[in-house]
Amino acid sequence: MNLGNTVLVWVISFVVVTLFFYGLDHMVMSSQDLPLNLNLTPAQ
Amino acid sequence: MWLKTLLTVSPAAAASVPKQGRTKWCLWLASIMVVMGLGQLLGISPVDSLQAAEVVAQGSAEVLKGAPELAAADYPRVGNSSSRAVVWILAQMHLFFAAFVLAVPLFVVVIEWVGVKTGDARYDDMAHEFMKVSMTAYSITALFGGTLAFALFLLYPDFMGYMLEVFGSQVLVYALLFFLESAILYMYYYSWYALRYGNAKYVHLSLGLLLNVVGTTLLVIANAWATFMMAPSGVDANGAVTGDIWEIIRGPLWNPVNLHRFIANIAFGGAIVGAYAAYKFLSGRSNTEKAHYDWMGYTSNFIAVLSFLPLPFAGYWLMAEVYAYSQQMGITAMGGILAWLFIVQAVLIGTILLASNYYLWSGMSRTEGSYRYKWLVKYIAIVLTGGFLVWVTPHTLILSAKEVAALGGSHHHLLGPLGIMPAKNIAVNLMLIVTFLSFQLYRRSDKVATVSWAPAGNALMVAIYVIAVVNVIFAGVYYGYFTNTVYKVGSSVMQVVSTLVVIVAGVVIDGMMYKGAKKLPSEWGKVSNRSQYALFALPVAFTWLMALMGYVRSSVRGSWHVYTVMKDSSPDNFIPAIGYAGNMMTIVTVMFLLCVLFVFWIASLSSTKQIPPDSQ
Amino acid sequence: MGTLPKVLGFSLALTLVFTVTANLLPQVEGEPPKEEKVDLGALTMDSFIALGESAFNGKGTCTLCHNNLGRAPDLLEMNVGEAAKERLADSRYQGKASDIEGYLRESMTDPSIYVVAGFGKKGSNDTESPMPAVDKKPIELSAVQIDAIIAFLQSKDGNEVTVALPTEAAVEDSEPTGTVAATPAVAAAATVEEAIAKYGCSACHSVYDTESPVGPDLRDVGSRLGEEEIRQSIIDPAAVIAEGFPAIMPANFAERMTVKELGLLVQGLAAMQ
Repeated sequence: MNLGNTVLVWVISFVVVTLFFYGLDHMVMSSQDLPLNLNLTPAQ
Repeated sequence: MWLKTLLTVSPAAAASVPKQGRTKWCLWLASIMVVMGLGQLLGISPVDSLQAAEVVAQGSAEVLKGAPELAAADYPRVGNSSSRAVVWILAQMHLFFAAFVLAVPLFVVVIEWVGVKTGDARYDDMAHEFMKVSMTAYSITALFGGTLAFALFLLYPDFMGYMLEVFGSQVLVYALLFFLESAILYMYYYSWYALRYGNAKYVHLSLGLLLNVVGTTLLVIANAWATFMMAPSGVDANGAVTGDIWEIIRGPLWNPVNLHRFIANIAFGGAIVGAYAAYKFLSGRSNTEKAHYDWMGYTSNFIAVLSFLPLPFAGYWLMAEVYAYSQQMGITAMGGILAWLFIVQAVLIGTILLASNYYLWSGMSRTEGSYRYKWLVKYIAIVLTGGFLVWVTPHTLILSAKEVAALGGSHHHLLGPLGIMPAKNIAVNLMLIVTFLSFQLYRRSDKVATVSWAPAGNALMVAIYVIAVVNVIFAGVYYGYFTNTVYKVGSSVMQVVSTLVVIVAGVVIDGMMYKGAKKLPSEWGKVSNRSQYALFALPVAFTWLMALMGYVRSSVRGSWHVYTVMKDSSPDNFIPAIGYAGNMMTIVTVMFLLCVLFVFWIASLSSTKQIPPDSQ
Repeated sequence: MGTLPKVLGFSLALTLVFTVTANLLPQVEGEPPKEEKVDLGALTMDSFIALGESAFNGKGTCTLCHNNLGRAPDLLEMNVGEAAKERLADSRYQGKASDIEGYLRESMTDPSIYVVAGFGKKGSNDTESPMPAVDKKPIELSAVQIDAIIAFLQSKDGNEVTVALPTEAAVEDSEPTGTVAATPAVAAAATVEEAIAKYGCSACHSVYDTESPVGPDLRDVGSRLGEEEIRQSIIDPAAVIAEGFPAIMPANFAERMTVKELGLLVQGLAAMQ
């Protein structure tokens, strides 16, 4: 496995996992009727 | 399957099961299902039929009799002793031993089954040795149970009278099952070598399962008494019985307590037999002896920690049900006068996590392959210590006037934010994640992955750890400190889910990545003496923790024998201060430890033979 | 050293750590409910309201949920009279009450008749209240105590108090045992003890031999606060709130106390070290 390939594998892993966790957070919050609310606005 | 894979450590144990054996145990499993169904019938149906009789009897009664109303003079006292203290000690001792003897057969049957499946006789020997330890403990359980019942009837006669009136014939079912449990226990233990091979082994395994069915039924019957006292059901507001026995048993807290106690018992039992193994390891002379007890200690620790990890979730369910039943009760436990003891709980759980991590790191010396992961240990230690410190930072610091002046308020401006829930949630989740990391590194240390996608799998695993940790911290910091309160609770679920993802992904990825992996040489017994003290720290902390949580569970009732139904008018009808309770917990823990040492001694005595005088 | 003493020593030392931790924490004992006779003949409206307040903070355990943590409507913060009027006018209101007093009594004895939006049991869509009926077990407030709480809730925002003072006859009818919590004294207090009893400090604070975890402990308040700080804490409780405690101390003590009583209390508390 060459270097470029290795870097690619790591980048893909991190991107995939980040997206997965983003989706998961979304799911967890929406199942409790809450938005992710990433823009620091107060709730309600 | 996964359990077996996890339990299997040595290459010798990885022998495949012959085809014929497989069909045999499939058949056996099927027959077990039938036996379990029967056990269910045996356990429940007598209750149902008795209950029917009771309902008929009640139907004819015209006025429903409620719980008695007592005055302080109605409580007999023996000398100047506190009745509560007497019952507290006896009940706690009975519960410690009962938890132990009910838990041991649960994992013994699993280990015995692994022994059959792998054909490795060491599993069978270890399972037998675990049982041997619990046999003496069984007699002590009964002894304390009897003394407890005697003390209760002597010191709280009216309360016991009311409980008997409510539960009636269910208590008889309990007594019957107790005799059944004893009979099966002795049969299971003493037939071990008589029913060791071939089809006879399946008879023996079935006995073991039957033992657990009866044991667990005993547990849930006894739980019903405790949960009835916390959240009575099947009675009216005055305590008069209105429902059938099933309604009385199945209160809102019954199942949460059942699950919580079931899991906690296994963790507790594992910790106790771990101490046995550690004790034998330390006093062992030969290398084979040391290797055997090292392995036994490792297995016990594995059982204890594995069943310890889901406990917070069972506890969460229990507390959620307590809140749903009575918000007042929930707040008393979590936010009121009992809230302080969660600091002690943090110290105890911190001890448990530190000890089990330390044990895993020490165990890495068993194989040379561990040098690849050793560098990570210090970072795990830092996270654990940091998390522990955040967790025990109390919300309100108790300070003298001078300290208040020095800090500019009763709340430290830097430490203050660490004392609140989001910070503690971050700490706990990170501690659980790194504990799993320790475990995963230990599991990996004697293997080299040979699958072609190993680098990608590794990258994925590292990414999951990093992103999960970031997510836990982000959820805690962002939702805990920067947006409003509504999100705090919501985001803690996010943290728990992140932790669970790490654990599940770790088990799945490693399971696939290390299939057919190259094994590096590793040697049981090659572990420091010091590491064995972690195996003593676990049961001590578990025992104390169990006493502590029992105090909370019982105290939330306040000044009620049976919450909302029967008032406690005895001189001890208040929630004792945490210091007094702590002293009680220490008394019972020390008493229990001494009894356990006696049990260990008896267990090793039975295998000691005196050399005949004429042979010398 | 042999294995046994080492193992025993290690285990005992660890147990000691846990014991010490437990003993270092603040020592609070739960208080069993105390029942005391109230002298109904000597009751004035002021002392009746004070009785309601102490029941609200003490035996009624109302502040467990009705506080600023969002578990239930913050009764001490809101204008209860205004809120009650709005709720009676709400189209969701199904109860029988027609005035504030009736609404408050109904809310206490049958909380599920009208649940304020957002405060219902989870999943009940605000049709079921998590609040227990206060006249039933485990709280068991008497009819007199419920009336006193209504009087307190009405008076605290300066609304008209419509509850009538209880008469001996009414008590005989509604409550055969006739027991109610703490007697408020009517005359001006002459000693610190009397002042503490008169203003019901022990409903929230641990003081002398009574324990209450709602407010800061007063038994050693002199070691934490000076006289001026104590005076400020009584006159204007909201100025400095002790960490970890809810901001629920009534702000009207300054109006209710005589100058002499305030002086007595400040000096007496400062001496508690």
